[in-house]
Amino acid sequence: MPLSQHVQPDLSDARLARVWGGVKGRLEASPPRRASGWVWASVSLGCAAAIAAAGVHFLVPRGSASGSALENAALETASDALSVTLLDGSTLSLDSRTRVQVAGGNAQAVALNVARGRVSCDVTHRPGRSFVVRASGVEVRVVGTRFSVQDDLRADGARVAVIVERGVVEVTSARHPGQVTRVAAGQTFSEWVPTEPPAPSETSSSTAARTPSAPPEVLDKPATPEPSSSSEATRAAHDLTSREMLDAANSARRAGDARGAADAYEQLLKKFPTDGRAGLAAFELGRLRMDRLADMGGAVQPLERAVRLAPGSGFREDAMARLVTAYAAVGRGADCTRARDAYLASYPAGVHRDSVARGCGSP
Amino acid sequence: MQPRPIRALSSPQVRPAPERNRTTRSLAALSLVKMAPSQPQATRSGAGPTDAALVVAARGGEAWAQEALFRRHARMAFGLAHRFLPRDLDTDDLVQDSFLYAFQRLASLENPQAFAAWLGSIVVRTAGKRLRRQRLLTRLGLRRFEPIDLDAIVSRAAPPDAAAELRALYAVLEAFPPDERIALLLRRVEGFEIPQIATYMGISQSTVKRRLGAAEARLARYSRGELA
Repeated sequence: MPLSQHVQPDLSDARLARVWGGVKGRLEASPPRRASGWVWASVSLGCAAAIAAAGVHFLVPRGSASGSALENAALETASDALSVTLLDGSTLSLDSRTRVQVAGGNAQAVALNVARGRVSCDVTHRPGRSFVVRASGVEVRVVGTRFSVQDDLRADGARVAVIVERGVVEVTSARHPGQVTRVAAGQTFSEWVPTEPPAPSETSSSTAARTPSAPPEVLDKPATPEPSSSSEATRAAHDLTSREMLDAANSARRAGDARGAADAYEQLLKKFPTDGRAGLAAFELGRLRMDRLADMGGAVQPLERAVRLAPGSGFREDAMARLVTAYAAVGRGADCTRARDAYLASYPAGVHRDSVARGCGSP
Repeated sequence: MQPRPIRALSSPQVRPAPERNRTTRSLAALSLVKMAPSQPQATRSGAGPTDAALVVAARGGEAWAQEALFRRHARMAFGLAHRFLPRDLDTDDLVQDSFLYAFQRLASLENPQAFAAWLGSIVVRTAGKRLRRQRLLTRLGLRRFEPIDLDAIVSRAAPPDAAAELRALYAVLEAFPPDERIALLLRRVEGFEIPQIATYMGISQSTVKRRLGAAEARLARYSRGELA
């Protein structure tokens, strides 16, 4: 056995909390920075647990009208989302399985080609600056707004959707030259772009008729559809990343849809049981069941899971305190006592100390 | 919940892709991410998220994941730091600086599952920097030399032979050059083998052997009373 076991610091909770407080404070004061070299290349290669969204800054040279470092760059995601922030504060958020080519990227003109997937853009208005997003021949010209462009590729064509959340965009399509469609906040532009058959000279069979593209639609739909029922949240869940599922569940909870939110948290836990967000999802599920769905019994298992999955989390203390309440409510006296003792041992000066100490009804 | 942007690139070092090799080079030019498909990380029942999962979540700006990593590995970091810099204030500062460095450069960790070893190497190298600075300040008369309290360092429960070895070691370590001191502590106290010492210190194995050789020789001279 190494000698190190005989030279150990005296570690108290207070000392740990003090040092963590120092780390946290300094982290908040100064954001993470790049190590030397190509950080993201080294991260992406061989990374086997890429399940959280990451963010990258790239800088548009100020006032530079010449070719920029962004020219010909490509952004691509696999199962993760990605956000990119420009110097002017505009952000691009790529969903999973998305590829965006930067056709032009300088201070005066930004042009993006969406090869597949979905990119959401929150664009800062800059006078004189052109911001264009293209997908399958559809061009979206931006003034200053928040919108997303989705290019859903299929075997027989692509559905391009432009959803505007704020402001106005102008959309043109190669299939309808000369026609400019203004899409305002709350509206969705949608166009089906069929796959072009090969030119007659390239085929050995008889000439194939060109299928005319369907006219584009502008629909008055909410830019960000919200799960209004538990069944909608459930149906949509299987296509989403854990981050998206957590966002959807949180949105439903904030909108007052407790049942929908609970279902979404459950779906996240089923689909991503070991995800970094699972502990938080379990905690929120437990809280919802206790506070809004009057289901104390149903709150026990998610709260236990929250405590187990996120041992160092900020919500662990709450989860442990709530477990005491839940156990007491369903008559599990021995579990209540054990949970109470565990809380008091972990958080002797905790905010819930007094209520937890009385929580099981007996000392 | 928006992904928190992380400053990762600086403009002057980014080069545009050459025209002839647009697709391949463009992906490399900005080091933009092509993330591998996510693999669910198996966890033992009750073990909680893996380090890899916590690292990835922390990279995404999840503060709870940073705290979880801190609490999971704080004891290891404190232990290492304490053995290099046994005074409490120095230990706390070293641990804080090491975690801060790790969280600020989490993006550079190629294997998220190796967070613990990576953090350990950060503690070791940061300790080296501190020791070198302390030594310089002491030589310049800008820092008062404070001997280590041997009674406070060595556990009272240590067997007599272990306690004697540790006291003998720590009694003279202050006079060692920092690099020899660290190599010797990693070898004698942590029980590391040469390759592990090399990894933690970021040097070659031959350099480790050279430093250990010098440190052992110096220790032998102290034990013979040839050095005060």
